[in-house]
Amino acid sequence: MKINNKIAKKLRKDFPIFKNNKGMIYLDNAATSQRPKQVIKAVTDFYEKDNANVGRGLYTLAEKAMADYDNARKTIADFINADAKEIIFTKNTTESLNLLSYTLSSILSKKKDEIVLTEMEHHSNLVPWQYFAKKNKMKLKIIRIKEDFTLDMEDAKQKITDKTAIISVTHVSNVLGTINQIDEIIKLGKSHDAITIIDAAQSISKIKIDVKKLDCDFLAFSSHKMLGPTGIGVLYGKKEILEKMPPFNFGGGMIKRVEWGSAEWADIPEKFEAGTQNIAESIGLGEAIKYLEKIGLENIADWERQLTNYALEKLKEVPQIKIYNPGLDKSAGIISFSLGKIHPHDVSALLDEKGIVIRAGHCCAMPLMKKLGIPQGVSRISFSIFNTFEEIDKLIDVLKEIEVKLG
Amino acid sequence: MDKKKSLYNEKILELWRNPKNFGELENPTHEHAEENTICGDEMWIHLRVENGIIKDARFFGAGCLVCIIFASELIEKIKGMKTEQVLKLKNEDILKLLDIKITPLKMRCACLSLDAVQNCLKKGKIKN
Repeated sequence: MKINNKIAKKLRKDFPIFKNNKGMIYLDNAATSQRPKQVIKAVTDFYEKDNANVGRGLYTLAEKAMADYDNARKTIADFINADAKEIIFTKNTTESLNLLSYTLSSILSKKKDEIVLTEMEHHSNLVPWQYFAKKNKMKLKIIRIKEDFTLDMEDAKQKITDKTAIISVTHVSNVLGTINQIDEIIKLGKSHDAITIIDAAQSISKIKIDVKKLDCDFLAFSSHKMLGPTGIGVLYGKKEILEKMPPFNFGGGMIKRVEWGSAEWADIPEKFEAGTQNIAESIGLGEAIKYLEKIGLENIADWERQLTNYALEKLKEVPQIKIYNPGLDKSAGIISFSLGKIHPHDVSALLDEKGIVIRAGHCCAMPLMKKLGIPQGVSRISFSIFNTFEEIDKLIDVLKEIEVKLG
Repeated sequence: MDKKKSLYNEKILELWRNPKNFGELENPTHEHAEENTICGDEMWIHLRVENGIIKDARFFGAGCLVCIIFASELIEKIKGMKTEQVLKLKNEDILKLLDIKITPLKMRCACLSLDAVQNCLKKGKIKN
């Protein structure tokens, strides 16, 4: 379904949040998306019709619950062209990355002692590796960004070497909106026999990902940033690597056999899924993927591109604005800016008084903000399928008012 | 009209544009910078303390509107106070200084100056 301004307004009707927050202009989709009624209904339906624990009960209801849950996993696997066994349910991207930071050390070659990240990583793809590096006596290497807010690929070539054990890179920057050339980074990593990890939190809802083509070892994403429920995320991992890794959490559901002194782990993916899982939420995520696919990721990307193009042009009209974005062709639906010396929190509070919701502050990327020379952070807008040109017009009008008032 | 409704009314904006006691002291006895890392703010405090009394005080640095206007009022309040009284001040005392609604998320901003002043007294004595 090709989206235009009229269709965007129609799609907005799928989101009950707007019934209860009339006129709200929601431009904080990179923080968390809103949920369409189809997703909310799938979660409610499960609780009302099929609710039982999975992988345990031997009665009809439990079988139905298990089938719903397995179908959700299959939908997610198909979405990124993986095998269902390679889909591990987690809480979110953060937990997916933490799972790796807790379990990878035992399978790494002892000769390798460096981890490569980039300057645009979210704290969730930086802090776990800081801890990992300290614990395992390894070094962090950070690929620089250039003045145009894209990754310095020359620097990447310098930093990714035979010493590189792990490369963990964001697909789309949650601050700059930059789409990174992850295919090239993965190739570089492979040529040095490094483990490659992609943080797809910001790209999964708008860029088609085929893990087989990409050939990354791991891919992490969150349901709540792709129209799905909170509390559920995914770690994709290559089967042969997952099989070698130790478990993450221990307890029920992740074992084959337990004796007083020892236990034997279940096969993947259950090996990594101890305890009762977020069953309803996984089913909600499956439904969110169906919803996204019905519209088509390429149509979503195209609409966000039109909105981005319009916003980038219009924002220039606001006096004192500085935009932190690599431009239309290199970014994906996220635009950060600062407005003179006005604190981003004041920008956000004033927009909020007019019903416009944006993110303001460090956006979980403190080192990047420091590098950009803006410790107080940015104001960030991020789009979804229901945003319209009129909403951007309103945003620009209010930003101009704020600039007059506080500038 | 409910005074607590819009934070950014003209009266408040005027206070924000011209905060009282903004700047440095020529001869402080105490100085300290308090950081609010979550907001990326840093507030500097200069105090001149004589015989246990705050003779003069100033602040400077960057912060959001809430942060600045409460600092402006707090510094005004503590001038002439005994240091032991200042150390006993609580967040609630700060919130009383201005008749505006502070949401839980803005508490840290409103009260940054109190932490800054108290830490300045505790660890900011300038050694001669």
